[in-house]
Amino acid sequence: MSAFLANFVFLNPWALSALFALPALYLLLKITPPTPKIVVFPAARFLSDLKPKTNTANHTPWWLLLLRIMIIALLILAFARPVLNPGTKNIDDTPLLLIVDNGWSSAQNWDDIVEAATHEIRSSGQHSASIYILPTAENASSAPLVAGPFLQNEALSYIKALKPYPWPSNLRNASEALPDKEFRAVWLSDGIKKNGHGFFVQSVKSVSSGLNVTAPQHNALPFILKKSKDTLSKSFIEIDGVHSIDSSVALKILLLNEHGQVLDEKSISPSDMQLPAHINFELPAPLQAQLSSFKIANQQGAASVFIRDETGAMKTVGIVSAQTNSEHLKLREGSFYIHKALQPYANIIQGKIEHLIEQKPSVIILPDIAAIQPKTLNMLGDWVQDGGMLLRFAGPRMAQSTQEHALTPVPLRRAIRGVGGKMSFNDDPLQIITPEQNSPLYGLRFDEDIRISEQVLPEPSAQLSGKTWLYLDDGTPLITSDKRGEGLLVMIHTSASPEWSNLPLSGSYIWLLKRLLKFAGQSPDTLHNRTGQLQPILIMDGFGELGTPNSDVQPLNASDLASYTPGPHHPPGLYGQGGFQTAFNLGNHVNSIQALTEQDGVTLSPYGQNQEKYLAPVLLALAFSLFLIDMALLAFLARPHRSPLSGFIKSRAKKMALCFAVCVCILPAPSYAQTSMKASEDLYLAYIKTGNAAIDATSQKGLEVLSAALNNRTSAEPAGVIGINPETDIMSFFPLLYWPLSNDQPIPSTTAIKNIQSYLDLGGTVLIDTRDGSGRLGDLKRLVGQLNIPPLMEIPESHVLTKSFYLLKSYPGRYENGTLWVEGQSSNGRDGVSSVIIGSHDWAGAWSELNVISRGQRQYIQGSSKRHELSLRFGVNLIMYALTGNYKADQVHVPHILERLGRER
Amino acid sequence: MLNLLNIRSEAEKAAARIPDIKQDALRTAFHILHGHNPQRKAGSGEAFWQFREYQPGDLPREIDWRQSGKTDRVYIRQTEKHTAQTCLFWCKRNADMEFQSDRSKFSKQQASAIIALTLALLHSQSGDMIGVLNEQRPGHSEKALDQFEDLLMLETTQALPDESNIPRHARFYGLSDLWETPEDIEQAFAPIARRTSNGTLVQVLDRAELSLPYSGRVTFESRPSKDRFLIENVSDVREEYQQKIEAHRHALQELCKKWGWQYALHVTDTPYEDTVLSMWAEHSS
Repeated sequence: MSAFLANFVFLNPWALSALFALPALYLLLKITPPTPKIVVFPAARFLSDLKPKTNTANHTPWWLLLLRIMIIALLILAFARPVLNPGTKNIDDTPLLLIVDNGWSSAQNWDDIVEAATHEIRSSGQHSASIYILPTAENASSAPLVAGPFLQNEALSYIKALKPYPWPSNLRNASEALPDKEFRAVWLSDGIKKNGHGFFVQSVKSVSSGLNVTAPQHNALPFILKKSKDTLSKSFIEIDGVHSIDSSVALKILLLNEHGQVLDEKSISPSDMQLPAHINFELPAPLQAQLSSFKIANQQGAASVFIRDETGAMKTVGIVSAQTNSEHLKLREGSFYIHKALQPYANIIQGKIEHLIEQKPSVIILPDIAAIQPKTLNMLGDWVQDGGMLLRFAGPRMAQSTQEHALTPVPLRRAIRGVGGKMSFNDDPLQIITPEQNSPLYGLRFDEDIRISEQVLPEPSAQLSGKTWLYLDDGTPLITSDKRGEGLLVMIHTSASPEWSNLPLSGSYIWLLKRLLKFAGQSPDTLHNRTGQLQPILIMDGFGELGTPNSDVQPLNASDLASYTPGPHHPPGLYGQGGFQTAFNLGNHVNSIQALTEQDGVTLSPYGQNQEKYLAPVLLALAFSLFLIDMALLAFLARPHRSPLSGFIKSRAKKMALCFAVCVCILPAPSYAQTSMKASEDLYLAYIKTGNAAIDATSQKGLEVLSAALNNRTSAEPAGVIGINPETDIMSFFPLLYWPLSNDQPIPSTTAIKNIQSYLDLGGTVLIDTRDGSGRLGDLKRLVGQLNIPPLMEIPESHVLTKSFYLLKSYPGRYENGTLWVEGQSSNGRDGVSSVIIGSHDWAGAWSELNVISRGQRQYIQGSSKRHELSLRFGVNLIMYALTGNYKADQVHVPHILERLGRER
Repeated sequence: MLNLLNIRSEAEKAAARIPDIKQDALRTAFHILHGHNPQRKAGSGEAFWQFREYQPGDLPREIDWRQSGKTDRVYIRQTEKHTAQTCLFWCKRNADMEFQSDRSKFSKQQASAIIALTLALLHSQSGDMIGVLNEQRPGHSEKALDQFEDLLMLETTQALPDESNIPRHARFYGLSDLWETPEDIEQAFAPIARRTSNGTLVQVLDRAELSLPYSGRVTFESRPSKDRFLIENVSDVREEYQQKIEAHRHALQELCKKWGWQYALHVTDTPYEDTVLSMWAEHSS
């Protein structure tokens, strides 16, 4: 707490003098009374002149006063701009040398390093260009390691662009790169002691007066994953780190497949372990095959990722056993020895060849098989062609059989060559020569006591030396191999059992077989090109992410893989060529990790200690929240009882609804004609304007009379009558269109015809009235012939139009007689409503002879006679038909209709 | 609107709750007394109008043989022309009516709308035409009822009804809180009273307006006029206020009596079926 107070400073101390005004404010607040509550009351005028006898007291409650005083006090404090841990500004002019560790070990604490670097640069307060930055890990370019001199913002942008690298820092290079000047040196270290540390410290101290070293806390130091192996259903990884970590550090190790999905995970506590430690995972074989990398979950950096290539994975090996295994002959079977040798290193399956092939092993081993069926031979041959590896052993059975050995790398002689036999040159059994460098088995060591007494010899040929992997000391080949298609044939010319040699009894047998297994699944080209170059496929960046390689990365030589260490030209990652991939990991090249301590000649200070913190925002936030509480309290107090809240909400709701409605209306609405707007809102009767004023007036008046009748008698209440121009107006709002025809009418234009046609197609009904009473329909063809009118028929007596409202027997207009035509068969999509009704009775003429009188809000039809009444009834029926469809045609109405018909008769 | 109350469903429920027997009786009573508005001339209807001597041109089936048998002449029985009665409603819908205290389920506007719609439902079931005064053409269809409901929920700034063209002898219902001065109310409703004596004024009040449940220092504000009155101690003035309210109500009742109209009071925390029933009971008696 005292440290806290000691590092506390006000940037605007004079603002604190306003605190003296607080008591005055207190008095002021105490005196002013709060506003009375407001109640919206409809009967307020009755209260206007009423005077109470006593007054209620009015003062602010004390806690409200306290709240307000606290708000003001906090505001004043905030304006005084308090700062915690103010940074010291550098007053003299010595250039700043900022040494930044950016090797693999710095990735874990990289944010702290960057923040500290930014803080140092900002507080260096220098305006001349004199900031030098020295990263300790080399980069791929040939530029000198130290960067500078920088101005403040140049230095800041350089730091922003700096990234950790996945290889170790090189302090020797860094010492050599130190420029020759007087500095003030600051070292932002990653906490790990590196090689050449002492020399580096000395060189730095020689050019600078003091050396401030900042290092992360002990518990924040990185861990590194090294070396991984798979055994039968177990995988393990080795983890290393600095010693004496306390128990608060917990790590989680993840096993990932190539897509980054987690196969398994384990939490460990490094404090309980002796580092370096092996972590075991129980992983069944199928998951082992998918395993592609290990990762420490809560750490970042190249050290926390370990990539696996196929060489670590367990392969499946199939051993062909022709006969059933009989226990007492086991020790004489070659398969027993192979099984024993390979068991810890591969999954072994045994069986017949067909069964083995089905299980897709990487390697099939034939220990001295006598005869193979031709079909099976073909299957095996195809399997080898597709990329399998076939390992054959020689033996007595093989030698005895007369079959042509098709699946051998080299053609074989039929005879067994026994040392000491007729064809041998000397009597001693043969020894194995250590393989040369150009042999794929280079590196294997064989025991001195191995003696081969019998072998099967190959036919001599020119390519034999190219196919031989292992020689015996008299120059005869022991192991030959050949590629077949994508696969590999390997033959060991002696037996798998100790009959012909004691190789199966020696330890070298195991290494040999293990080594041979490694060739499974690889392209044959690379085998003989193991001296070739492995190109980078994926490389790791400083944070452990795999990505595509850039141009700085150089390929690795396959022959001396072990000699490479991670560096700018060989970053860790996955390298390979032509199907063969090998992982180049950082962990395998890093020795033990030691933490940097005081004993190494430097004084350490941890990260995060000298950060400036501005307290003003915190105080302002506090004042604001108190202010909100104050407002809430006021609102709560201002209600006399709970009542106006609901009114408040309702009026707010109305206002919101209004805003919403306004917004909706502001949206651009398509510009319809005014009539269309009106027509869409209500039921309107419509007629097609013919252009003849008299006819149009008749139609208008007639339909108005009809709508008055509808209003009075039915529940269909049309709001009015609209005349439409078929070329321009939208017709789809009207259930019925009345179309009067006349002789002198022009033929409707194509637009009009198109509109009417689409109206009909979409379900409208048109009443075509030829108005001549004759029924001859002469004009009809001329005017309407372009319309696609369905086949028509005379209206039958049982048609719905006769009973849709009134029961009708005739359909008089101005003319009594004439035929009414309706659509022939009922169309399904329109509920049986005929799309066209054609007549000649001039109904609008009849209707327009009546008058409509409005009295009050009612409309009365005057002057009606029986004929007019019947024509009105027809009109009502028509509208009801157009609106309700075939509703009246349902059978359910028939009894009532019959009853009414009976009554009338 | 964002009014979550469905006025129509409330009104339907209320209309359904009025006991069926009584409703039928009421409906019949309606028919007999009002509803098919008697026109005082001959026409088609149900009520008897007059006996008239047979003249050429009359339909023979109209002859009343019993009457004709009593004398030598032939008489025709004529029935009175009945048309459907028009019922017009007017609700006050301005800001004052939105008042709703915490003890009431509805605001005054909602309560008056429900009562109006209930009465409209009952009337339209009996065959009368219903409409909102000056704003709707009366009808008896479902569409008219929908329009009725929509109009009643619209806010206006009117405190009193405008000049209207009400048909003679139409039924009129006025629902408002009637806080205006009696002179203003008389002036506004007098034209309607002249044309019909079948009127009812329903005063819809909130319980808080009658009982003044506030305390302490309160400023009362009248929303339409924005006047504010500060009362230092409300509990003291409560009794005086209630006396004033009673006097006002008394004046309104006198006014209604003068016109031959009915007066009803509805407080929003009482169920509205009671109000509707009592209004009908008065009519049918």
